[in-house]
Amino acid sequence: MASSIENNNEKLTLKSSDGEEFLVEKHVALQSTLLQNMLDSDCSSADVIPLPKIDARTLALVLGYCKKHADASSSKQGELNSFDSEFLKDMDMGALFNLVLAANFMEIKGLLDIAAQKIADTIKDKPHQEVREIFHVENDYTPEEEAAVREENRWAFEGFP
Amino acid sequence: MPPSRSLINILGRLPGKSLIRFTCVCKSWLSHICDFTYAHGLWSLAWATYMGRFRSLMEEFKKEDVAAFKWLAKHEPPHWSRSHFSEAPKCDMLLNNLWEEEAKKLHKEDYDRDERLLDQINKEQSAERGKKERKLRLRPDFVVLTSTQRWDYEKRLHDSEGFDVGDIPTYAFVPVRPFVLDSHESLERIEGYAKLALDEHKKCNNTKYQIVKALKANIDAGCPGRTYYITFQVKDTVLVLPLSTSRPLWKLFRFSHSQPSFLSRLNCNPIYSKVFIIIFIPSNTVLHILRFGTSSAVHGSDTLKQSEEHKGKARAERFGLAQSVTADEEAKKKARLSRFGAVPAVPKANAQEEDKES
Repeated sequence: MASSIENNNEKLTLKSSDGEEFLVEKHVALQSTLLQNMLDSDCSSADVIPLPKIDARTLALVLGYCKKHADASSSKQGELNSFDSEFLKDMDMGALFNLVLAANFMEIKGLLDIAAQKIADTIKDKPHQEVREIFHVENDYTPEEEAAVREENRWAFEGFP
Repeated sequence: MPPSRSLINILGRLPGKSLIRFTCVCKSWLSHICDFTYAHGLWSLAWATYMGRFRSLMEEFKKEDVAAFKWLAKHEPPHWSRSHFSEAPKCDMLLNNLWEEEAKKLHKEDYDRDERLLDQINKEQSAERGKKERKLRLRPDFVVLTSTQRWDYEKRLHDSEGFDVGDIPTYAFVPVRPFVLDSHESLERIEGYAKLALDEHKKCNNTKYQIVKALKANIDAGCPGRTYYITFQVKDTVLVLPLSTSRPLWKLFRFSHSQPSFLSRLNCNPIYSKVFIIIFIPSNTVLHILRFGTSSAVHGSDTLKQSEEHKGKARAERFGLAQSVTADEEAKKKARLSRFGAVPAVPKANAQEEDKES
C-alpha cells in the first residue's frame, strides 16, 4: 500500500535530444507505451531516461498532452476532444511532424492519431506541388513520367494546376 | 520528411482522390499509395456481392496493374471472392443500409401504432375507473370489513338470523346491514312493515299486540328483493311493556319482510316474500326464540305458478337455498303447520311473564 502511494508520487527524469531534462510524474509518463514498457522491464526510475529523437520543444508539448490526458482520463471525453483540437490549432507543419515522430517513438497512440489526422486534413485539398514543399520531398520524376502518372489519373486532378 | 511508417499513417487518413493526386509527389509516394490502392482494390473485389460488380472491379484492377491482375487470375475466384460463394442471384439492396433503414422505419411505425392503441386503452380504462371512483366517493363511509370484524359479523348474523349484526358501518360490503332509522320517513316505513307483520301474526295467533315503536332495522339487499329485519316494541292491548335492560321482561317482535313491489318488478314470485315474525322473549337467563313463518298466497294462473316454481328451482340451484323455496305448496303448508305447532307456547310464556311482572 505504502509502496503504491510512493509509486504514484514518483517522478521520472526525461532528457531531450538537446540535453534539457524534464521531471514528470509517473502516472503522466505512463501515457507513453514506450516508457511504460521501460518501467515494467527494469524500474530504473532514478536514472535519467534519454529520448534522443525528441527535442525539448516537442517533448514539452508531448508532456503537456500526456499530463492533460492522465489527469482527465476519468472526466468527460468532450472536454478532452476540445483540448486536443485547441492543442493542435496554431501548430505549424514542422511542429506537427515532430509531434508525429515523437508520438510514434514514444508510442502515444492518441497523440499520433490526432497529429496525423491534422496533417492529413491540412494537405488533402492542397495541390501536389505544395505537398512536396510541405514534406520537403524532392521530385524524382522526370517531367515525362510525371505527366504519364498524371494522365493515368486525370480525374483526380480536376481543378488543380 | 517523416519516415515511411509515419508517412503511411498520414497517407492512410487521406481521401481517395487526394491520394491519387499525390502519386505525383514522388516515386516513393506512388509506391506507398499503390500499396493502399492494391489493398483497397483487393478488398473491393473480395467483398463484391454480385458478379456484375466483381467483373467491373476486375477491369479496373487490370487497368491499374496488369501483373497483379495476372497473379490474381491464377487464383480461382470461388476461393476468395464473395460474389462466387453462391450462384443464386444477389441484390445489394438486401445487404444495404437503405433496406435496414426501411425496415427500421416500418418497425417504428408498428411500434408507434401499438403505443397509440395502448394509450387509448389506458385512457378508456382510467376514465371508467374514474367513474367508479366517483360512485364510491358518493359514499365516503364505504368500508371493507377486516377479517376479525367479518368473523364477528358472520357469527352475529348466524346467531340472530339477521336481526342483530352488531355495530357495523352502514355502507359496509356485507349482505345484511343496518337500516338507519334517523328520519321520520324511514321510521314510518319500517313501522308500516312491522304493522303488516303484526297484523299477520294477530290473525294467526289471535293476539292483541299493538306496535309501540320500531327499535332497530336491518336490510338485506343481497338477493333479489329486499328483506327487512325489524326489531320493535309492542304492547299487549293496554299494558306497555317497559323497555329495560336491568329487568329483561320485555317483549320484542322481530320481523323480516321482503318488499313485494320490488319483487314484482323483478318478476319474481311473491311466494318468496316471506313474512317472518319472531318473538324474542328473554325469560330469566335463557333466551327462547320462537319463530313463525307465513307467506303471502299466490292467486295466479297455473302456468304462472309453474314458471315460478321453475324459477324457484333455478334460484335454489344457484344459491343453494333450502328446500323451503323449491318445495311445492303442500310441503310448505305442512312445514308451516309444524312450525305453528310452537304457537301455543307463546301465549303461555307471555302469560308467565305477565304473572312475574305483576
